[in-house]
Amino acid sequence: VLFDEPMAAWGAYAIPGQPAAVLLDRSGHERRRWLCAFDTAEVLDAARGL
Amino acid sequence: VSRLRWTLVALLVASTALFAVGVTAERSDSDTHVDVTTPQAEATGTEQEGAHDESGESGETEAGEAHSETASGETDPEDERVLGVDLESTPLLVLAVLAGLGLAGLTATRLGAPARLPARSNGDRAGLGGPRCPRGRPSVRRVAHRRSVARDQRRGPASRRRRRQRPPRPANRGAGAMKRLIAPLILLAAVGIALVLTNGGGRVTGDAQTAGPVVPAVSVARLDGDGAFALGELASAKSPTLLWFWAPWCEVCNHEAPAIERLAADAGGELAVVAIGGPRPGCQRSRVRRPAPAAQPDRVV
Repeated sequence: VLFDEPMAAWGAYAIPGQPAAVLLDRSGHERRRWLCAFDTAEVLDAARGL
Repeated sequence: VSRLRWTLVALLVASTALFAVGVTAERSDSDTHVDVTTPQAEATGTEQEGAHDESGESGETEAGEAHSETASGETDPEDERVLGVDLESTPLLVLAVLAGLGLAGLTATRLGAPARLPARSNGDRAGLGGPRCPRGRPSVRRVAHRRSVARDQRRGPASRRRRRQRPPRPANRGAGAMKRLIAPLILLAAVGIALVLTNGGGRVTGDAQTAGPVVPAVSVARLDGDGAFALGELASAKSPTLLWFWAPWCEVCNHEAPAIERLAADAGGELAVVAIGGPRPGCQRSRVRRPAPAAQPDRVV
């Protein structure tokens, strides 16, 4: 659990609000994102597909 | 055979044009899909839910679930591929240009080559003992031409000069110009397709990329105060990583935090979860009654 006081990571990923989630593959590339509430089962399925 | 070649070239040009149009249409669809995720769309959804909350029909939890229905703006990486081709790959541009160059050269060689007639010297042009056409009898037109040349020989050099100054036939000139245009046209089509496939000719948003940007060189402090975590480490992770952005005063975040914690536990080695909190408001600003800032960071994950 991190706390980004300067919002640097938020800015780097262009996160407009919270909660939000960004799925990265093993090489760190963004593969998918969700804004606000989302289904965790969907996230797990997407991660298994990478 | 010549008509067959022209037909093949026309089919090739038409198919490349149709392919380019199809790729462009698919690209515009992808852009439209991505635009759903813009902050303006989020703000609109927030305002609608804010009005819903004011009517007193639902609490914060219900509002969060309702908001999840509007969170369908996630991008699907499969939409960003065309025929399984990675649109962002630069080698594709090189391959397409090389293929276009090769095709153009082949076409220029085949269509721009002179007719396979035996070479004739000046003496042969006079029709005095030169090689004859190897296939069949000479045509009436060729015989007439030879007679004309022989007549010019008898009349003297002034007549030959007049013949040489005669302008070429328009039909032959047009066909030659068309043949010379084929190679540049095919090359142009190949370059155009390459530009479209590699996003050189269109707008690309961050979400529309097949594989998004590499993790930024940012270090974020740990909530427990034990140093910082460099996001660059995620570039060589053992498993996919979920970055979850939250805020301490965000009710939806607090409602979602246990599910995120369960997700991290259930996923095992299949998924790593990194929660990144932030102090400033975002899309929840208009409908969440904010408690004192940073009052409940320990409630999240």
